[in-house]
Amino acid sequence: MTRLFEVRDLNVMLPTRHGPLAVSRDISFSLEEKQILGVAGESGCGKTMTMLALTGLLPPGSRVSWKKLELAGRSCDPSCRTDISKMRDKGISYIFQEPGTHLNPLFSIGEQLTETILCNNRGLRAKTARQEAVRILENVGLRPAGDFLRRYPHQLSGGMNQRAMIGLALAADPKLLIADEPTTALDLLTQRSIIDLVLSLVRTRGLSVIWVSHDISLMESFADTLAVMYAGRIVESGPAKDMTRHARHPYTRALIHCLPERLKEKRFQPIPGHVPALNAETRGCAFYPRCPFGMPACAQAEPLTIETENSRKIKCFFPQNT
Amino acid sequence: MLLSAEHLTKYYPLRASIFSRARACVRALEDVSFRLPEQHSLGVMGESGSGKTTLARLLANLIAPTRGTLSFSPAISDRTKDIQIISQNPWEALDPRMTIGQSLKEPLIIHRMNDIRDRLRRSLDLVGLDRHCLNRLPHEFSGGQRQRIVIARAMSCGPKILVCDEPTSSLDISVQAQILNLLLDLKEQQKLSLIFITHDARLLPVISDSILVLHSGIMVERGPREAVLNKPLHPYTRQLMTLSKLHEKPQAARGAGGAGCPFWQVCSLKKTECSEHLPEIVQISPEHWVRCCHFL
Amino acid sequence: MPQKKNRSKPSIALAWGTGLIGLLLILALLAPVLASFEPDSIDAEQLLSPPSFQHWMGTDQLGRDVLSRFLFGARISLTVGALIIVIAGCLGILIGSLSGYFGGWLDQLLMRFTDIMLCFPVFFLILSVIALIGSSVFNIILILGLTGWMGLARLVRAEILTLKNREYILVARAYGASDARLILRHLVPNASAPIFVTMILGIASAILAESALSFLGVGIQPPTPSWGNMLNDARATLGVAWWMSLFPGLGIFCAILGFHLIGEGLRNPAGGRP
Repeated sequence: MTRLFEVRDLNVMLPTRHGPLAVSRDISFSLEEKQILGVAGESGCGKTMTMLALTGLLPPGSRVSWKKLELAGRSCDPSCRTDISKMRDKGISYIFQEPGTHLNPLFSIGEQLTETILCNNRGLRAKTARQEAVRILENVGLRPAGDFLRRYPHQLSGGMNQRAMIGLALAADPKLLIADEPTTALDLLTQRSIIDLVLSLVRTRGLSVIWVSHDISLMESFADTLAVMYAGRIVESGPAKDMTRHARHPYTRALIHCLPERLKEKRFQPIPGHVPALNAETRGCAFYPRCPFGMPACAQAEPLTIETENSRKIKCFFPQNT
Repeated sequence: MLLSAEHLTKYYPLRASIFSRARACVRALEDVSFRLPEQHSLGVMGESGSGKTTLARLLANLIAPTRGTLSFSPAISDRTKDIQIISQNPWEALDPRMTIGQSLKEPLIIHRMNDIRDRLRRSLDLVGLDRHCLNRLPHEFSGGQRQRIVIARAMSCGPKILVCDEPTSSLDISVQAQILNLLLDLKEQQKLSLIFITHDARLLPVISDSILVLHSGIMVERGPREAVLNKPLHPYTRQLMTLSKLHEKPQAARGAGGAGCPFWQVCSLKKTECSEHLPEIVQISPEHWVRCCHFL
Repeated sequence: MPQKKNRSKPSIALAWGTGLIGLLLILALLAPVLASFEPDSIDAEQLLSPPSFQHWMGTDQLGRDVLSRFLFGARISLTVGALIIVIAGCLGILIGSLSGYFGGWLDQLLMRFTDIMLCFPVFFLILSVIALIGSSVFNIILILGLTGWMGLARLVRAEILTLKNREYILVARAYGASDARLILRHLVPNASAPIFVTMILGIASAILAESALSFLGVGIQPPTPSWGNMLNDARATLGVAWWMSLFPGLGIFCAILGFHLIGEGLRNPAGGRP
C-alpha cells in the first residue's frame, strides 16, 4: 500500500466580525491509496471547514497553516496559498451535501459535464469531451447516458442529482474524492446505492475517498479508517471496525450510543449538552463539560494525542477500556 | 378509536395551461386505511415520493382527500386544536420575524385560550426550554432547539394527536435521539397519540406501536410492530427491513409507477398479473394487512 | 478583506441617503422659522434679483423670495410624495396579497386588471382626469396614488406566492390561523423588506411625477409653491434668471437621489430576503 495523502498539524482560522476564529486545530491524518477515511462528528465540529481548507475552497480572508500537506508525493509549501488550489486541481474533487443546490439549474447535465472536462483538459475537442461525458455518466450509473446528458437538474431525483455530482467530480480525474455528507438528504435505499457507486469507483478507478458524515454506523460499514472530530480537533482515529467495536474516547462512545439501534430501556441515548460554540475559550478538554467520565484534571489542560496498539490515536487523559 | 381513516385517496390535478381544465392527475395517495386508538403511535414508513407528506397534510386538514373519509371520535372536537403537526424542517417551521414568545402564543390566541401565560410556561417546561428564550428570534437557535420550540407550540393547546412528518431527518444523530426521547415522554405523560412518519426503519422498533408501509402512495402493508418488523410479508417491506440493518446489501433499486403493483418491476416474487392491476388489500391476521398478490 | 468592503458599501449609501432626506425634511419642517419672507409676498422693487445676502436664492419675476418658496415647496413636494405612496402602497399590498394568497379566478381577475393599468399611458390618463375634475393638492395625491400601485402589487404577489408554501405558513394553517391572520401577521411582514425598498423608491418617482405635472401647469396650482411649479415659473426667464430654475431643480434632484440611496442601502444588507 502506498500513501496517497497526508496532512500534519493543519490549522484553520476564519475571519469573523469579532476577529479570527479557529475552526480546526492540529488536524493530522493520512490516507492510503484505494482507501476510505470516514470523518464523523456532530454538526458544528468543524468537519466541513477542515475539508474545505484541504481543497482551498474557504472564503477569502481565512488563514490556513500546516506543517505538511502531501498528495501523491507532491508536497504543498506552507507559505504559498495558491499552492493548495493547484494541488486540488491536480487531484482532489469535492461532492457536497445537497446536490440540488450545487448543480447549476440553467445548464443541462451534459453541458456542465463537458465544461468541467474541457476546463481540466485544455485543448480537448468538444466531441471528445462529449464522448468522455457519456463514459462518465455510464460510470456513475445514469443510463442511458445520452438521455441524461440532455436533462436538467430539476428533472432528476435527489439520488440521480447526487450521481451527476459524482460524475462532475470524476470529470476532473481526481485521485482523492472528498464527500461531505453526500447521502444525508437521501432515502435509505438511494443512500445505499450511492455508497455502492462510490465503493465501485474505489475498486475500478483506484480512487481514495474522505467521507464526512454524522452517522458513524453508516461509515463503519464501508470505511477503512475512521476519524472522530469534536470542536475542531480529531479526538480519536483508527481502523474502522476496531474503532466502533472498541471505542475508547468518551465522545466516540457517546456518538455510537446515540444511534437509533443502540437502545437502553426503550429509550434513545442522546449526548447531554451541545457542541461548544467555536469561539468558546476552553482551557482543558473541549468535551469535558459533556463527558460522563470527566476528572478534575480534564478541565486544567488539553490532553495530548496518544498512540496505542494497531494505529489507534486517542486525545484523552483517561481513555476507556473495552 | 381517536381517528379512523377509510380508503383515503388524494390525486393532484396536473394542468396543461391556465385556461384548460384538469386533464391528468398525479396519484399521491391511494386507498390508505388505518385506525388510531388512544395513546397509540402509528409509524408510517416510506421513501420520498411515497405520499408521506400528503398523508400528513390530509390529517392536518391542509388539503381535502379526493376520495375516502377521515372520522374522529367525539374527543376531537376541533381539528385545528386537537391535531397538531410537527414538520420536517425546523429551520422553516417558525416565522423568522416573530420572537419565540409570539410564535408560541399564536395558537393560544387563535383558540381563545384564557390562561396564556400558564400554558406557555407549561409547554416550555414540557420540552425543557427555559423562559429566557421567549424574547429571542428563531435564527438564534440550533436545529434541535428549534424543533423543541416547534413541539412546545404544538403542545401548547393540549392536542390529542401529534402528526410528526420526519421530525428528525434534518437533525444530527445525537440531537435526533433527544427529540425522539422527548416525543416518547410526551406520548406517555400527556396521553398523546402519535403518527410518526419516517423513512428510517431503525426508528420504528421504539417509536411505533403499529406500522404502516407506503410505496408510491399505496399502502402495501399494515400491522402491529412485532409482526411487521419480525415477519414482514410484502417483499418491499422485507427489503426495507434488511436494509435498515445496514450491513446487508439491497437486492434491487426502486420500481416505477403504473397501473399495477408499484413494486412489481423489482420484486423477486413477481407474477405476470402484477404489472396489470393493483391487488386488493388482504387481511392476514386480525390486525395485519398486506397488499400483495401472493396472499390473495 | 473583500467581504467587509461589500458589507460597508451599501451602508455608506444609506448614510448619505438618510442625510440628504433628513436635511430636506428638517428644512421643510422648519420652513416658517428659516424663511425670512412669506412665500407669496410680492416685492415690486426686487424683481428677478440675483442671489444676495438679503435673498439667498434671489427673487422671481414677481419679486418673491425663492428661498422661502423653496422651503415651503419642499413641504408640499415631500408631503405629496409621501401621501401618494401611502395610497399606492395600501392598494398594492392589498391587491397583491389577495391575488397571491387566494390565487385562482381572483388572481386572474386582479392581475389582468393590473396589466390593463400598466398598459395604460398613465400620464395622459392623469392629464385628462385632472382636466375633468380640476387640480388641487388633494386631487393630485389621489390620482397619482390610484395609478401608482401596479408595480408594488406584482412584487407583493410574487413574494406571497413564494412565501405561502413555506412550512411555517402551512403549520399556522394547521393550527387554525384564519386567512386574514396569515396574510397580515405572517405573509406581509415576511415580505416587508422588498416592499419597503420598493415604497421608498416609489416616493422618489411620486415626487418626480408631481413635479412633472406641476411643471406642465396641471399639478399644484400657484400661488401654492411646489418645486415643479417653481420650475414652470422659471421657464420664461431661463436665460436671465438661472437661480429660479437651479434651486428647485436641485431640490428635486436631492430628494430623488436621497430616496434612491436609501432604497439601495436597504436592499443590499438584507440580501433581499431574510
